[in-house]
Amino acid sequence: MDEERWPTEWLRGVLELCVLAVVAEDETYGYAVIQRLRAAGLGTVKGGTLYPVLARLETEGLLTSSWRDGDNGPGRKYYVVTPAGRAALHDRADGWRAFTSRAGRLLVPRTVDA
Amino acid sequence: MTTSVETYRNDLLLALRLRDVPGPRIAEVLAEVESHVGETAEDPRETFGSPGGYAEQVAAALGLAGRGGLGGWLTALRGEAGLLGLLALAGGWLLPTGLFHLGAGTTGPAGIPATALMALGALIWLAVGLRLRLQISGTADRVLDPRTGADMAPATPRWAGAVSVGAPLTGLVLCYVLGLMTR
Repeated sequence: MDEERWPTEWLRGVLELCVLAVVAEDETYGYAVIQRLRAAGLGTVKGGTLYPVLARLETEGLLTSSWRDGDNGPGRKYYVVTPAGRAALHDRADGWRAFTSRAGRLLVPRTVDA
Repeated sequence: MTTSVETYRNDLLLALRLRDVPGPRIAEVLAEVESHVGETAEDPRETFGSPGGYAEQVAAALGLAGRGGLGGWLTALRGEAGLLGLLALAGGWLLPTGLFHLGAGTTGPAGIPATALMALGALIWLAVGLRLRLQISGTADRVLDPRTGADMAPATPRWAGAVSVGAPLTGLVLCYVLGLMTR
């Protein structure tokens, strides 16, 4: 299956968690998050999808942000994970892994009994 | 078709305002769009969607969903803006009616003197104008760029100011002249 064409509802379910994971790796900014998700094989997330997710995570207190001058651009908004964000990532990632492993067990290819 | 960042930004600002998104949040959203598009050279409409659609998403994230489009305008009309609009309309009827009767040398409806109609209309317009001026200069909900602190609201072109004063003035003079012609 073409990796760039996952059904959008699959990504929607896990995007918030993946964005939190990317920011937890290192301080980062919007476009770099998109590149990181693409490099991870999750497809291309649009700006219009990403920034509201970042804003929601910040409202929840899982990230903080600050504007800083870019190299020669108009300035970038950098995001850092908070301790609460790290704890939430730990819990939610555990939950997601349990969920996908159960779904995976159900989806094992079987030979159909005649 | 590509959209210029400035056009998109101004459309988005209006769409967010219409949905009652607070000024500081609007400023963040506009700066995010500018910064992102400045970095990627993408068409803002391509990556963020239509200004209305994106504003809807931002508003929904703040629990302000369903305020856009016609509904948004109607909601806005029920508030203070609606009252100001009604008052401006009343003034916009009283002042020209008074001028017309002054020109014609007659009394207005219900025998009210032309000068009284004019005075009342002018007073209402003055009050509405002062209130609007106060709203615009108020700092409570301004959209200030989080990067530079500059005001992000689009500058009103010089001709817009001239038209907004010139057009009503011309109309008022016309009413007086029309009145004179009935003599």
